[in-house]
Amino acid sequence: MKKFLALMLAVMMTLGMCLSVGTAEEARLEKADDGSIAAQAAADRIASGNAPTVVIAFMTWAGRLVGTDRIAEKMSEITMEKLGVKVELMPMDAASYAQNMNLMLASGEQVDLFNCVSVGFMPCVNKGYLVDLEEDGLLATYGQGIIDAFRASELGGCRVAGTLYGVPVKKDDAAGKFGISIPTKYLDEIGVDWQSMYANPEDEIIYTDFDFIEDVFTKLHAQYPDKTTFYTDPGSTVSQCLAMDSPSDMFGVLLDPTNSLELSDLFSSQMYYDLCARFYKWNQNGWISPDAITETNATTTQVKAGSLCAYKTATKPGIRQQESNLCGTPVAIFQLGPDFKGSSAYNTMPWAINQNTDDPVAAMQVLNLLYTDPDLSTLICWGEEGKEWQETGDGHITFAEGIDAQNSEYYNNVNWQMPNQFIARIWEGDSLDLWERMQSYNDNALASKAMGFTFDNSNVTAEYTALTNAYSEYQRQLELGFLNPDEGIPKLVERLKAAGLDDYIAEKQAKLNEWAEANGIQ
Amino acid sequence: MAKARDKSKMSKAWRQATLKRSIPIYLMALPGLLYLFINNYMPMPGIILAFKNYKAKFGIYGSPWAGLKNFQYLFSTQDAYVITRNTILYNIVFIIVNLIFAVGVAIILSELVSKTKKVYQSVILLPYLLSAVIVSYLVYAFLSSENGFINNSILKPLGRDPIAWYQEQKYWPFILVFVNLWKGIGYNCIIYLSTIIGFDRSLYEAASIDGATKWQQITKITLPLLKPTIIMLTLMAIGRIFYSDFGLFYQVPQNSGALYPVTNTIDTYVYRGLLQLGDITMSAAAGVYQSLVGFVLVLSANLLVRKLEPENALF
Repeated sequence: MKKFLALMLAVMMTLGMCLSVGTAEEARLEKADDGSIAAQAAADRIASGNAPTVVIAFMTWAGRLVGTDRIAEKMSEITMEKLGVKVELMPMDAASYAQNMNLMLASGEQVDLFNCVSVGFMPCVNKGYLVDLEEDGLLATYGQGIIDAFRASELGGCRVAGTLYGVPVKKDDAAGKFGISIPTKYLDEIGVDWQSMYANPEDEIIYTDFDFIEDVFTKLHAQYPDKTTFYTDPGSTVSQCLAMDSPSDMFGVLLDPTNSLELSDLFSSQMYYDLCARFYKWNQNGWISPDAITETNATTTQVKAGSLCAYKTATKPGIRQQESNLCGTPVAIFQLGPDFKGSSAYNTMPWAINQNTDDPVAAMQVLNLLYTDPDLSTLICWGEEGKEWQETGDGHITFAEGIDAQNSEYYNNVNWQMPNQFIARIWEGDSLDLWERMQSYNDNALASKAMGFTFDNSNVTAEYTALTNAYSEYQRQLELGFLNPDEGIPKLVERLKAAGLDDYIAEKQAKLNEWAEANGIQ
Repeated sequence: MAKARDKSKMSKAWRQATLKRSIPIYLMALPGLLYLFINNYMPMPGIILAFKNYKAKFGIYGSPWAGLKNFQYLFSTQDAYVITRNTILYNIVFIIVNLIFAVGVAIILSELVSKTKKVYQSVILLPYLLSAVIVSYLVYAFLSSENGFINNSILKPLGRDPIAWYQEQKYWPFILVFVNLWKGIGYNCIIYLSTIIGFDRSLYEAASIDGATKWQQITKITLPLLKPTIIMLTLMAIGRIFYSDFGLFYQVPQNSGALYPVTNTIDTYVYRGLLQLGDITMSAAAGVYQSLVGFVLVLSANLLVRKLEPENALF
């Protein structure tokens, strides 16, 4: 018996050696074709036969869906063949993502690649959680596809003090300021001929002015006295309404971001006063619910429930479809401000490599493949063909037979968080040239001169906590029009000054000037 | 000499006997002690984080020292006064109000017949088991501007103007004290109730034979016997005077900015300030600060008790 075992072992070992020699030979040939170190690394890994596993973490709305492991296996088939690496997916619920990620990053649990959304890019950098992506030429050697997918200035958005810590997501980088979304059924009911208002028939956004919108609100309020006429999610009101740039936070902003790099106090500005005065007027008109100050439901949830008529949103290509889906009824999108690209366009939710990773090269190569391989990107965005989705015949994809949003085993709705949704398949309802349109939209939007600047506020954290507390005391009251801006704003400004606003702005300005000098921006 | 040795021998044997008898009790306490050790003692070295400039790469111990920089934000602004005042004043009021009502309810419950007592006790304990988020929405059902019970069903029929509760600071100190009392009373009275039940009934029988009224029995027997328990629980509450019930101060006022001057405490301030920053060293600093002050307060309160009534001091 023992002899037999020994024999088997010997046979297996020899066979194994032959096999590995064989693949190594092939791999080397392949490498000769390609000639790059990256291909060599992949080939060596394939040859050695022990594939490292790269764990990919991201945030979802519904936690970990049952199909996740199957999709990871499918993805591994591609990554094994191309890189000799296995992948594992670790989707986590939005409610606990930041907390879980913080624990995992601090405790050394295995997670190699993750999206910084909700965890926060700067906090991760400050705590030293992220790999310097250019250390020892990591990106240049193994991430050529990433370099090709972005302009240098776009990647630069993830640089902190010159060091690259993340890779942006391919998405809408600009946002249309002060968009208003209103279900078409309400517009029809009050007799607004919105359909004739599009400048071009293929447009999805109606560009209009405040007089028109206020007229619509008056009619809506008269027609639906029991419904709230207007609500704006206070967390994003300022950033989504005003064409200014607020690098990293609201304390010290660029009021004229396309021309000047001078930071000033937003809250003392005319722009902020006008916004608050407008909402104050709207509130006085009864258009904003008296309960808005404690409202916690999302705008679209309120519309879906039938209690809200209109709300503020940022706009972008595909917005009408997106908001209609969220509201459960078709909406028309009006826009009152310009399209604008701020300094945070590229660093709100970058992908990054955990400094604790065993194999940064493998992680980088997987990330690179996610930006370059359409099949891999489609898998992580939409799931598996035949199981989650099928072709429609005209180039779109849609739910597979008998599958819908409820029973799908992998329908995360977080493609905006995936590295490169531009190369994935396009879902029914969106136009096939969505990504070309998105690209030209991104390219044509007004861009802040500070685009790509991230403020490292670790020297002024004491001021920052005081400022955040002072601002959140007044934010909802002013930005939902409950407080007369003539009284409220001076009080807010006084509190902010006492909390060290001037020191904070001075520090930010110094860092911004340093950054501008390093990047040759005047 | 011999006698003394005898005595020590005896007491040694006696001590061994008690130890033997106590083993089952120690065993029963073991899970609790283990929990205490794992949860409260093992993380203690984490205090060091408050003095570090944490970088994941170097780990907790390898990160560079930061001195007292992490504590700065707690003291450097005008908010420091407001949050400290709110935290301490609310807690003092809570301690007094909760004590009076908890003892009162415990005495009432102890006088009830055993069947109804169980029902009442469960009913007043129930709010304690609710999460602060649910409590906040119960309060909201009363106070909401548009659909709230008070505005619609009380003030309107009386012909009064509705009140924007979440924007008026003056009501909140009362609302918070009331909610805290309502939520905590069932739990707070449990220990008093169990102590009262343990009292020797013959004392009360003797008193009633001598013609003492119920009130006299309460003031002359129950309260004096209850004093050590009251002192102990109050001392322990004083130890937590620098902490605040986060759910009560953050969820119940629905995080309404207009109410910050009367609802902002150390915990909510730290939470709001560090929500975006996510700086664990700064939150560790806040924790160290709170427990240090609590520690000092417990020691001095105990010192005071020892001066006045030595037999009732904790240590």
